[in-house]
Parts: sequence; C-alpha cells; structure tokens
Amino acid sequence: MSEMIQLSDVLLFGAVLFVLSLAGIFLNRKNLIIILMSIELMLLAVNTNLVAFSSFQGNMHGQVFVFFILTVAAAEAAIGLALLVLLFRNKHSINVDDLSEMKG
Amino acid sequence: MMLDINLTPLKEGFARYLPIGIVVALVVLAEMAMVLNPTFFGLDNFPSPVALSATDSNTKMLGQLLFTEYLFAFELAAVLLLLSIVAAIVLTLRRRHQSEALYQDVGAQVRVQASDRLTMVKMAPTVKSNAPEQGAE
Repeated sequence: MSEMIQLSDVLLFGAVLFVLSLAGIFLNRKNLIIILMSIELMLLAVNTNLVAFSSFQGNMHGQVFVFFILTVAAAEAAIGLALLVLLFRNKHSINVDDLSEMKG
Repeated sequence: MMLDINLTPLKEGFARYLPIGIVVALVVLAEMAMVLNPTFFGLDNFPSPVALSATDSNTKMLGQLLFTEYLFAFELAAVLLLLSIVAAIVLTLRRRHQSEALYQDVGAQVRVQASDRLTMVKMAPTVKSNAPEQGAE
C-alpha cells in the first residue's frame, strides 16, 4: 500500500518545484532571463497541482484547464522574450540593476 | 550565448544571496509540507484514482472534452497564440535600411495611381516594313 502514489506526493513535488523557482529568483536576481525562466517554472509547478487534483478527484475538467493555462503561458513567454530582446537592443544589458529608470 | 553580454556582473550576487535564498526556500518548503503532508492528502482522504473509463484512454477523453465542451475556448486559445506570434514578430522585427534588402511598403502600394505606372505616349504611326522580303534578299 505504501508504494502507491498518493496525492500528497504529487503536491509535494509541485511544492518542491515552486520552491526551486523561488530560490532561483533569489539567487539570480541580476539576470532577467533567469528570472523569467523561474517565473515560468513557478507556473508549471502550480499546474502540477491542478493535474494531481484532477486525477485524484476523477474530474477531467482540471486537465483541460491546464491546457489553457499552458496556452496563455506560451503566449506570455513569447511576448516576454520579444520584449527582452527589444530591451537588450535599446540598453545593451539584461542586468536588472540597469533597468531602474522608473525607480522613484 | 545569443546575447552578447558579459556574464560576470550577472553572477556576482550569487554567493551573497545564497544563504538567505536557501533559508527562504526551506521556510516556504516547510510551510507547504505542513499542509501538503499525507495526513491531509493521503490515501485515506483521497483514494487512489480509478480509471474514469474502461475503454477510453486519458488522452482520448481529454480530446473529446476539448473538442466538444471547450471548443470555443479552444479556438479562442488558437487566436491568442496567433496574436502572440504576430506580437513577438512585430516587436522584434528590425529594419535595416542601409542594407541591400528590399522591403515592401504597403502604404505606397495602396496609394499608387495608374498614372504613376503607365504613361500614354503619342507617336507617329510607323509603316509596316516587309521584313521577310528583306531577309530573303
């Protein structure tokens, strides 16, 4: 019985992924690309929870929801990277410290 | 790397933020583990999932749901992806005017008049020459 996957295992896996991305933001706070990647990983970690609950509750709609979240995440990542390329062309830097013009 | 940047200044804070990063990560993980442990989400409360259908696979059921009940949202997602493709291309498109490449100017194409392209020339009528006879001689 103990070798069966239980819901808490999957939820803890999502939590570990979430925490890894959180640590990634903390450690690489200079590099804009790594921050974007960490935020994407955070979103995927939360998606894991949706799939887990969908599977364990016997409800397929949660997995459809994950599909749409992934779609929006893909669109967001594409536009985010395009904005990053544009930013790099104008400022020749992706260092977060160089992007402080709107700081009061 | 695709971007021509100096990576050294981007990595400088790594060692400085390593302790606090690890501490924050461990605290968050501990808080999550307090909630997401097998006491609340174990097999007693959430029994192992049974197959929803004996015949259909998960993929097939997902597809059936996606193409019937969520068809409008599915098409909306397709439009959203197309929009993001167009947005990404428009944002990153770079015009190099000094290069040899030719670019299409849609405005100029629409504005063009027939008189810009075609000029009617009045010219004297020419007499038809007898070319074959000249060739024969």
